[in-house]
Amino acid sequence: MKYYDILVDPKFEGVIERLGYSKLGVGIQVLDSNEIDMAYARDKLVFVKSSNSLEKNRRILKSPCDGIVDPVFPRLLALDYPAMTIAKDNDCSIILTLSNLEKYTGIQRANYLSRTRLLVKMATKKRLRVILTTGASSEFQLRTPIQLISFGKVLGMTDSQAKRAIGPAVEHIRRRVYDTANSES
Amino acid sequence: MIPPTLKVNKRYIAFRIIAKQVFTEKQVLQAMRQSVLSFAGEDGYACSNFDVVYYDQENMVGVARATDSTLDTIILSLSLVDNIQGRRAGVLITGVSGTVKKAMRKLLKENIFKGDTTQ
Repeated sequence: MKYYDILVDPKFEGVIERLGYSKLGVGIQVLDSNEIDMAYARDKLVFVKSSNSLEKNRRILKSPCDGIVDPVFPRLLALDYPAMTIAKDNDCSIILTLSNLEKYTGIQRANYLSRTRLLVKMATKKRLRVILTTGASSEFQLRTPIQLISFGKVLGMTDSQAKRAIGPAVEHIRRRVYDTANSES
Repeated sequence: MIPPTLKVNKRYIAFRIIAKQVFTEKQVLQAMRQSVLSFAGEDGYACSNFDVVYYDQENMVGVARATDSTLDTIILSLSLVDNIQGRRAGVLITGVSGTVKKAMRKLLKENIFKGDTTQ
């Protein structure tokens, strides 16, 4: 099975292949929650960072993006069950980064973990695609596939679900860019 | 003498430290213990039987031990180590095995940042 780390700084592309990841082969565009009205690059995977407003996140899920990044905060779960239905209808994935967990300590981290577990539970019930990534912006945040799989299992996924979250789930969303490129040519 | 049915099944975790300077075994062990203690708690630490079994200071690679039932918690605890003695560092888990010998084969001694000034 091939593993991918999608949200990592482009300067580490050569390094992550030595850690056990495969080359994604597709460009990534990450937008802020205020930029959802911008033009979306159709030849790249487009992800939007979550806001802490439920209404804004629903707008993000209705937009033609491929995924929403980290819709969890220590004091707030920024997606509810109806928002999951919107995500399912629009084929939008949920991206969870390990670097976001490292930001918090103590009770904040515990709250963040408990809300993330609830999010994963709801996403599994709705059969939503959850993707795990390191979100590394520095070399100290790089992690191997074993660590991402353990992250998924601690969040309540099974072994196969966690492996799918860093493998076939990414291949599925990558296919949209390939299909778009092939249909245009 | 413990009966075989009550024997604890151990797993050995091969890891590598990413940092800009060299750390001793004591410093690495202290940072890892602190991370496991804060993430898993006292009871979790006790159930995991965590310890660093082997450490090579020159290459900054080593082998840690945990029980098989708490393996994922320990791996995530080690992943959350972001500093050692106040300096930025990271832990890469390169392999898991049931024996120390096989875990040593999975150690990542090569410099993955070849051509980079990080290490």
